[in-house]
Amino acid sequence: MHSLRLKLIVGSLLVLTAVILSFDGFIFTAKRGALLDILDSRLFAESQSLARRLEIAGGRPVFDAADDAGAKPTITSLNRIVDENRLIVYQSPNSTKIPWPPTPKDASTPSWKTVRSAKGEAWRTVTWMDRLELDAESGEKNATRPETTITVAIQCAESLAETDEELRELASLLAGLSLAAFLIAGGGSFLLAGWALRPIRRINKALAGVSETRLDRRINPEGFDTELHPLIEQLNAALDRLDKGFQRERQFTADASHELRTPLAAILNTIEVMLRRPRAEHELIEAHQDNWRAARSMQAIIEGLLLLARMDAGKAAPAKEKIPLLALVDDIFASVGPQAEAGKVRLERAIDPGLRVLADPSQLRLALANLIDNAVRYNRLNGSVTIRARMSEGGALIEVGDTGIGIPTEQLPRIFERFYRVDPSRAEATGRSGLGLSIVRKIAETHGGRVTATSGPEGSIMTVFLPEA
Amino acid sequence: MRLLIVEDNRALLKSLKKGLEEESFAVDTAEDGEEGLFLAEANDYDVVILDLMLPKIDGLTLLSKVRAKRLSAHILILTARDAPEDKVRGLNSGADDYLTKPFRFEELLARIRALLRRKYRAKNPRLLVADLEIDTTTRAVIRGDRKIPLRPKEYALLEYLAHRAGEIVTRSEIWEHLYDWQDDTTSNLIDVFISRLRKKIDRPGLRPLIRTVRGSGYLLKAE
Repeated sequence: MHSLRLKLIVGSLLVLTAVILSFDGFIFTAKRGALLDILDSRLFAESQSLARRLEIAGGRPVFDAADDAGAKPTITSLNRIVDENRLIVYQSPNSTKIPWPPTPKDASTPSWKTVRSAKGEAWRTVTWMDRLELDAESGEKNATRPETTITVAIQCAESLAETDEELRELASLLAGLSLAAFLIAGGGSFLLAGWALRPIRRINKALAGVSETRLDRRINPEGFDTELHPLIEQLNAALDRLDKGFQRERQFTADASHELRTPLAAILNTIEVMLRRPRAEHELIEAHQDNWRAARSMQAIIEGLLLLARMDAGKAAPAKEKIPLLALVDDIFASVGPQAEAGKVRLERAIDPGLRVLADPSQLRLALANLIDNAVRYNRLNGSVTIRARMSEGGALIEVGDTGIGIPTEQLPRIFERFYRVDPSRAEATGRSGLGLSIVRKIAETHGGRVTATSGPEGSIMTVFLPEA
Repeated sequence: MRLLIVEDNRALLKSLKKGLEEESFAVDTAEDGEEGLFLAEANDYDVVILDLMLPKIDGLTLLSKVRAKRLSAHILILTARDAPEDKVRGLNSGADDYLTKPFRFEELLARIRALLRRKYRAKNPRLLVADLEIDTTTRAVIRGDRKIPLRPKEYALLEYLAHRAGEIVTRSEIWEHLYDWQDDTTSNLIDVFISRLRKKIDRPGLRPLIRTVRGSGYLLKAE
């Protein structure tokens, strides 16, 4: 049963059924009790009038049946009187058709019982013991009978047919009313459940309008019950995250295709223009040089994208080992040396010779090489690049500082995004992939660390933190 | 015909300029949106080839600024953005054509020529003035039944005069449309080219088509 509406309906009907049934039971029992009370007191009164007609004659109880025809209270009742020796003193006609309850030895309080005749009819009986005083003066007291009283059992019975009939009518009335109540309540709970579930349908409808291309849609919590506001807020927050994710993905794809198509267009166009007519050798050489540069920039982008894709897919898990940092930095300095010399940029380092960093050797080299390369490229004439490293907060902090023009504060949070360029025209001129810093960030993240940037008029500092564990 | 290319990829810019100049166009170039906007406002270009993702001022902003100033240049967007919504946005911002990278140079050329025909209200790529016929696609010039070989600048001048046949074309208009900003505008280059054209087109015995309007400029006319 996976329908919320069905659960609500069935649940409310179960509760309702229990309430109706106990109400019916209470009414029925109360009515039955009241009817029996009336019947019982009538029976007792009748038996008392029977008792008044008992006399003692010759030391034995005798029933005065003289005015039987007139004084008999009801024709539907059966009566009998039994003495101590279970001998019938009196019994009304037909009184043998019911099994009379046994008479107790000496009970003065009346007891009521329901018995069934051979035909299955229910009869209500009352039984009580009456004590008849023996008259001493009449000489009825003798040696053989030392007692002064005689006890007789008086029993009256009346058919329960009328009472049962009345109770049956009540039962069918209650059944009819209950069924009607059940149906009305069932229909009501069906409508109520539908009404209660209406916001869910509305949310559903609102969500149906949100597809990959319309992720900017949000559900307005106004008009919804306050209980649903947290749910709607959560849904909207989830949509926000999805939307941003898709936007980043779209932006990345658009950027990647732009970055690749532009140099490709340059190569194709150069070739096509060259092929339009016979060319002199110097023209061909120049075209080849242009194409080589464009192809190299495509290569840098493709390799960067492949590396990022591998790391995104978790396929480039770092194989960590303790790396002597000083040797690694000197090695990178050696490879960027010619470029630094060309820009008259000094390469400086302040690293403890014993400092070892836990990292994947090739990934750490790539990250530091990217940062140092950037620091050299975006430096000023006669500037410097300074590497500092120390252990702190359970990891290694490596700083790469430059003396360039710095990065505007509002752009700092974005410089690690893929294809983000502080100055696009300069990046184009230097043939960078636009992925260098995002690769540094990805490497720091796969090591469980991070990279941050600070910048001022005297230059920028990129700080890589790599945890020890 | 004078073109402006606004493109931040130097290799592409270089090969486009070379290819288009070899097709007798006067080509100015800009590497960012700011420079592009400055040049577009300063000169009367026939066609502007515009990249969208540009440093400083992006292509769409440049486009709307150029359109707000009611400049008459026809603008062709040349971009790597190939999504339909980008094309719709570009054309709706006032571009006349949209071509995505990578592209065929031949196609770019054909589109530039189509834009030029639109600008000069010529449906036929063959321009006819009396018995002079100019095929703007192949740049072949025929008078009567003789093919006339022309140098690129001579052809450009003749094509411009032919596009505006029947109108007086001023010297400054010729400068505007046939020479890029690097050419020396103080020289008597135009007189030199007009006299060369006359020698080739209006040979002795033929009705002269190129006329000088004293104090105003030149006129290409059948009568």
